[in-house]
Amino acid sequence: MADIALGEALEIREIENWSLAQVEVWGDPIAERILAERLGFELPRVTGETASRGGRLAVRIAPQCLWIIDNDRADGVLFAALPSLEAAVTLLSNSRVRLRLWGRRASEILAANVALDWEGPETTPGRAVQTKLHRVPVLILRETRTSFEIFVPRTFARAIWEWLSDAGPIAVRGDAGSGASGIG
Amino acid sequence: MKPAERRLGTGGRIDRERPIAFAFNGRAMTGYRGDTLAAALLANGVRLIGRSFKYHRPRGIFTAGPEEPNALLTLGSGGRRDPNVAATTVELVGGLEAASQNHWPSLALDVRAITGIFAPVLAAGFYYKTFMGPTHGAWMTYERFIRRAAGLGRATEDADPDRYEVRHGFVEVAVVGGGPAGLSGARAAAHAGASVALIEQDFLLGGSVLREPVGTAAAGWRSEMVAELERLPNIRILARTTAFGIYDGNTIGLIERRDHLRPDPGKGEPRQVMRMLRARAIVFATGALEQPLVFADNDRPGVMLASAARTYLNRFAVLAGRRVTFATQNDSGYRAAFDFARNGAAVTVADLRPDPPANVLAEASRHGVAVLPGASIAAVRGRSAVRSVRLAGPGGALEVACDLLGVSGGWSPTVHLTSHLGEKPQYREDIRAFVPGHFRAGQFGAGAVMGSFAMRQAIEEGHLAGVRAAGFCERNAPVPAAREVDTSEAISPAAPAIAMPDRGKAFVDLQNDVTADDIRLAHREGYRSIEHLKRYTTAGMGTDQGKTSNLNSLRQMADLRGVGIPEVGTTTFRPPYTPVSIGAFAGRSVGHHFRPLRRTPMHDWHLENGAEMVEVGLWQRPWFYRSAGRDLDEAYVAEMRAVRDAAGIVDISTLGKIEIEGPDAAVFIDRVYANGFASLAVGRARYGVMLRDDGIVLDDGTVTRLEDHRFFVTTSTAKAAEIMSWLEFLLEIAWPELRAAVASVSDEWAAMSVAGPRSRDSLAAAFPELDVSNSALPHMGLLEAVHEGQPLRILRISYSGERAYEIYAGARHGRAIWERLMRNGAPFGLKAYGVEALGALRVEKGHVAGPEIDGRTTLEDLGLERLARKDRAFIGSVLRHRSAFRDPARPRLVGLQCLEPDARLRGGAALFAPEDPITGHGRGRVTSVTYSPTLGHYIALGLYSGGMECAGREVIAVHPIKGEIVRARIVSPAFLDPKGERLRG
Repeated sequence: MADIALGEALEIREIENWSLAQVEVWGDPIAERILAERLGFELPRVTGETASRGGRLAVRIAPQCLWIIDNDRADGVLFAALPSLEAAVTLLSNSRVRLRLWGRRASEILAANVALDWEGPETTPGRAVQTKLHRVPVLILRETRTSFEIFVPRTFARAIWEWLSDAGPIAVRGDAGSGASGIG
Repeated sequence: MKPAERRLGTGGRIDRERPIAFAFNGRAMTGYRGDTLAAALLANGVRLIGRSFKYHRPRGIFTAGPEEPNALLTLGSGGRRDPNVAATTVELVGGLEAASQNHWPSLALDVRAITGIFAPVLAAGFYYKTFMGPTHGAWMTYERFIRRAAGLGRATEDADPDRYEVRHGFVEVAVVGGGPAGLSGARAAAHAGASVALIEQDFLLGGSVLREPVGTAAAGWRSEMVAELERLPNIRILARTTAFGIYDGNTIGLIERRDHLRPDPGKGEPRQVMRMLRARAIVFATGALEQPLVFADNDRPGVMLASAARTYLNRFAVLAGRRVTFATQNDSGYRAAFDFARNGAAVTVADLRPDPPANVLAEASRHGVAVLPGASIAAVRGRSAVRSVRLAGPGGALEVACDLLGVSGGWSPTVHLTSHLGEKPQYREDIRAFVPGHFRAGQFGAGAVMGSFAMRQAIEEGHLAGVRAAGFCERNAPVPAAREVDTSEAISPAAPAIAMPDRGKAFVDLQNDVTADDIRLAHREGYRSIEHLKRYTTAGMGTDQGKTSNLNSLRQMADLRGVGIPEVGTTTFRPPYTPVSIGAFAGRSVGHHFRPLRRTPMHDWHLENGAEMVEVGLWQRPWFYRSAGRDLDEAYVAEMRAVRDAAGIVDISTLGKIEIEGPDAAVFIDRVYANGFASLAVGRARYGVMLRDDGIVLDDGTVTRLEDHRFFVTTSTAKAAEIMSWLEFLLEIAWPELRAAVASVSDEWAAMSVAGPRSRDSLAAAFPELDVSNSALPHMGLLEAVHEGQPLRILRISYSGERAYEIYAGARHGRAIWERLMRNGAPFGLKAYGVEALGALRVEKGHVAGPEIDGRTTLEDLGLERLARKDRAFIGSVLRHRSAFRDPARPRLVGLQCLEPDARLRGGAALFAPEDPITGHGRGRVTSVTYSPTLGHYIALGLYSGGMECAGREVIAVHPIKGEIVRARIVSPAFLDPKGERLRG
């Protein structure tokens, strides 16, 4: 259960310069095999599982759907020719704002605001969940026990930023003019 | 007795080293830490605490818990004024201000008590029968006076300055109730290895044990248990927390009160926290509530539940009376009698039973308590405080002087929570009360709620329930045996049935002033179902939800009907168990957090450049720009002129944007839209309309073919989420065989529209590397480009009727592209315009939008039937041919030209033919209105019976709310450039 103690240090900031692509596959999974080869690691099999290597992260967000997150903003390079292999690739790098929330009581902040059991098996480090935060659909990736990444639809990002900032004693990091605090 | 003498010199669970100052009706008083407000008031000699709901009869404190029907007070002032709070549930804190309610001019002298004189005619149903005429609207007049005369406290109209929060929680075993069964259950579940939440509404754990004198074996057991639980790391004790509702999946609604912490909203500290606790298993240990007896004048201040009197004595060291009469029909009433006798009170017990148990009589004799077997209360003397009671028994009548009348009508298990999921409680004849009827998976019960009223039973059952609940969660570590206690208590036999008095005002429901006579009346008038009885008499309603009245109500109705209590049944128990502040439900979703606001990528530019924003759903959109005019009317007209004469730019990022990709994408789109897209060439866009299954128009937008198997779809702002869900549903459920995927790109693209005769010049100046000539980018054409390394998508689509371009840029770069267009378009007169002008421009052009696509209109109604393909099926293609949709009298799209130079048309106005009487809904309605600077008068779109067949006719537009009647003429909805030359040029 969440019980946010005032005075506990928590930090939130926006991660910038990254890319996101949604890959949906139907029929023959050859597209997934090729994608795995290009990424250099096995793709996660179950919804909510993640796999990563070298700054690239794959999150299975639905049985036939993956998010590929690249910290180097390599939009599109990975996905050449995949659409001809029974897959749809949609670049979504602009569509989400990526927030990092960390601190000893970060999970308690989230537990207070999200109807998820952060002590349960679905939310262990390395897992990702699609849920609602302040009624906005988000994807929350648990990095460690004390740090999380939250992928927020860009047009809601400032509302979420303000909601989290008002949730407790959070130290805000990042540029107020360009990050989630400043964009629409 | 003097007020100060009511607090005993020793005893109780109060901290006499920590006095607390508070005020009641402006009078300064002192209590102690550990007091409830009710206890402190009693200790200060306050007996008269409020006025009753209907008859304004004087009332005092009746219980010591959340079942309190009488002692409802208003706490605080200003924005913190909180009405109808039971004084019995309020933990005393320093500075507390309490005030009595529902009286005038004062509590002691309430003029409205005169209603008591008319009580014989104010019986149940009086209002329904009396105030229904002479006209249909008469009730609305009467209601104001009735509400003023009867009622409870008044809510504040000021903003609440406090902070509330809604939180979520998860636990394996939730134990509801911190009495003997709950403590035992929590201990067992925790030892078994489960994570446990122990929920207790009081600020102290112990439940019924708190009624026991300090120093007894029971009190010692409680202390040891609490100490042990506090040491266990896997138990979270949630005191001051009421479980107010049980929901599916073993979800428990909790409300935690934090007034004792003096929360500072400025520091983000919540006054109350609502938790939705999701438990794998629940142990219900909610105890039982003592029930009152029904006799004439049983509502006088000084009449109190025996268990409550005992609680005030042993827990709070408040001797509520020195000459005390207890009226009972069971053994538990004697426990209070003995405790009062031990503390020096003169005690008489009137036992309705003709032959009380010998051991009870023997103990009464040892305590010097006079017992009158077979005696009942015939009358209560004293109006504002009990002075004496008249007892009637086998030996005749007897007047007994007393200042406290304790009553005990047996115990009723607290089955409210166990019934919230729809499980009806079951009647047990052996205890003459209802117990939980059935438990869902993972739910267990223990103690008094199960009808096991003895402490030893409760401990044993709690232990067993805790072990089982933990086992349900696969926690099976060895559990040490339950801590036992020797209370030497007798298990009270079932209380006998009691005949309801037929003389005097005998209250069954104290809070709602429902008497035994009211229930007889309801029975005579046919309201014999317990649900009908409740609604006719209001018995069981109110803040206490009938916790001390339901059982007596249905007992009386059962007697009147000559049936058993199980046949009468109970009313439906629904959340909340006790009142919950609206603020707690809202949590932090107030003020600017009321809902998450959605901002476009150009939001800050709009604000920096004088935009007046308007909320459109969750979106913040520029309504108009202050630079264009002093007010809306001036600004939007100027913005329209700019678009018609030069060029304008508007933020359209709010449009729904969807990519559909896959080998079957075209097939999918063909099935979804009424018009066809399979033939749409790559690089071209087309207007499209979707229907619902029932043939009604769902939404419109554009479809652009980016590649052979890849489409870009736009929807209206309002329907963006609905259309996305609809398309996903169709692909997942209806046509899973289609190899196509949909992805929302609404947040991916910033979007803006540049429209007007100089729009192309503006665009060319902003992107000189692009060929945007008419041949390279014709109407409904697509240009995909890369600008400064970022993708740019330009569609030549017009909403305004002018040559126009929709420019889509990555959302991160939206503001930069917008500013580039503004900068380079300025020499051509490019100006930003808002949604008011956007809507007005489309009205001039005659485009339908949300006000016309309102969930009631068909393609034919909107003049779009030519779009529908006839050679194939699509969603809605069958039901759009229903005969009702073919009725020529259906309202259809028309244009309306205002005929009165000094008047205006208004959206929502009803349309009548000149010969029609101005009543009812008329022949149609005005849907969208604007002033047209091009035409120089107000114009509108509307839906009118017969549609354009009525072209040229005069109509009357009536707006009853504004009181306006305006003449208009039916004209073509395409007010401007009907051939579309401006947009194609």
